[in-house]
Amino acid sequence: MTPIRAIVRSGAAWFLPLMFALSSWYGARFTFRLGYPAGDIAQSSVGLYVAAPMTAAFMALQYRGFTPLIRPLRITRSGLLVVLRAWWPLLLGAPTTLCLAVVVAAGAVPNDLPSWSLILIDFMTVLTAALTGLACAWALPAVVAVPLAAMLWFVWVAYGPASTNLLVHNLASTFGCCSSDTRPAMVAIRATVLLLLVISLGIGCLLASSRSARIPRPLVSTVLTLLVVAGVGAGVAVLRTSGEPLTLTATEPRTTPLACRTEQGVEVCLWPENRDRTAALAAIVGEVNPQFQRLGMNTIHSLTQANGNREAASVEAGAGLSQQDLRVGVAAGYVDLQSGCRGATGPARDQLVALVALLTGMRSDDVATRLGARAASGAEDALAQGQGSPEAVGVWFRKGLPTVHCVPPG
Amino acid sequence: MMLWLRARHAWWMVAALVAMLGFDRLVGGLSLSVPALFGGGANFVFLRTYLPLIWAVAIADSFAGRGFSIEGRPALLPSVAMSRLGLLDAGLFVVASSTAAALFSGFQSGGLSGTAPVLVLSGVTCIGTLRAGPAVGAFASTMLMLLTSVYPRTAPAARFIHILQPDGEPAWSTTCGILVGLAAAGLLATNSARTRLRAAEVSAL
Repeated sequence: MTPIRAIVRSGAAWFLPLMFALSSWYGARFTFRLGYPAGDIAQSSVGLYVAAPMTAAFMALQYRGFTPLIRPLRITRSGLLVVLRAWWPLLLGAPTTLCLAVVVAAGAVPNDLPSWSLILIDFMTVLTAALTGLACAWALPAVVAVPLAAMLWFVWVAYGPASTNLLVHNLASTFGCCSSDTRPAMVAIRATVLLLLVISLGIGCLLASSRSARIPRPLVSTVLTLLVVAGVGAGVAVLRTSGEPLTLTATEPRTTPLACRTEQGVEVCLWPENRDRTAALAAIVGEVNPQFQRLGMNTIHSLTQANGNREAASVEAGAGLSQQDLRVGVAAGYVDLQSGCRGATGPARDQLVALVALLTGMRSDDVATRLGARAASGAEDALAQGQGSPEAVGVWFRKGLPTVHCVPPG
Repeated sequence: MMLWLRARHAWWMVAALVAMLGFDRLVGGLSLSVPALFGGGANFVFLRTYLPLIWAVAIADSFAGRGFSIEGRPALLPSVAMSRLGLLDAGLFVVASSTAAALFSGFQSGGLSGTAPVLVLSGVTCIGTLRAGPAVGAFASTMLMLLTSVYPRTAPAARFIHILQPDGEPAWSTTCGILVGLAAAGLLATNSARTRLRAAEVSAL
């Protein structure tokens, strides 16, 4: 079969552009740009919700009747080669299309192992979906195979993030990651890739013989079920024997070295993709430090984007953050550092953060939008009371620190 | 009549109905996570939402040969005239789908609105089956279910897009279900649909 004929006959000519449009729209809607390729790609991989079930269903629809069509022929080549010659536009085109859609939606090019691993999982997931769709249409009547293949993939993709089971979470193709400080857990990636490999290689082996078209349908269904069980078993074995702690987010701390630079007397350590925010953050600290000194409060000496340094104020500097967000981030990092509670929540903390945010030069209504009107008005009252004696504001701030509600880790 | 019921796979329809209701009891409450694309976070949908596809498969299977004019051959159904056959098929479709919808919605809290998914999917599948074959009928209903499921709940007109989901506009969903069902019944009654087949499908018959 010529390539052009294969593209037209498989339906790839119209299906793949449609899949690209849907997956990239879906992925782009969900993405809050971090500028961190693994994080952005993981978020845009929600395109799998559409791509995997659609591909499985379409492959099952298109493949219907193919096995009975070639069964009477005297084929000497491998059945896998015959299938690849006829269906490569869907088997290879659909995974490639999804990967392109993810990269376009994320606006990020993979540049490290975690981001390439996520792309590999996206590719393998859609390839396996296409192969299972093919196997379903081979084993079952098309009328059953089409919805069955689509729904099994939809349930698998959607159930992973909803499940409270650690093993299911770490085997799912959709990673609930990553903030700037984390990357996908390598053990989860190994387990997921192995699960997908076992299923897709198993179907490939089933197709390999030149007499594959004559394999009875019940045998194909049985083998397909066994392959799924074997794949899940292999994935679970990897997770269980790794000895690494499993988490519901399937992430682990990021190991990329921070890019540190000292500007305006402040050491700013950011992830490499955010290093262009150094000057902006140093300028914010440069504005607020004199205010702290005037009010008798501790000044900021260093900022860090990772949680490792206990002496530095922790900040966020993702690509999607505005200048106002950066100011609130510096304020929150300062309050967390002074209170000794990273990631604390509650109205008491919000009020202290609002005070520092106002000191950085933010307008009251911007503070209210981000931290709530109550926190903003409380902070304004405190600043108004301290107009006569600036130290009173510092005293108010220090009195507020013990009231911050610490969240116990884990 | 018995021959006609056998040709329509009536027992498979009963089995599909029992399977749909049984799965609803057993695993209908299993929750799935779908990203909330507008505003972040996630929404949960229950597996129950997808069970009407089982009924759609039964409809596609039952009326699979309808557009091929197979029943018009004397050797298969000698005593049934084509016009009467159309009315019988339309009657079977309406009665069976309505019964399935009523029984399925009885297991949900939504009342009458619970009938909409079964009616819509029955109609879409039947029309697809009559026009392009059973596999295309099943594919059309599967894609409808999939694409409406992933349409964000906070997106514009989401209530009107989610005609198969419990959070859709009940009156709109039910109206759509009735209209699509009537259109399918009309096609069956008037024998106006002829299936166009591909070469591969003919070999699979």
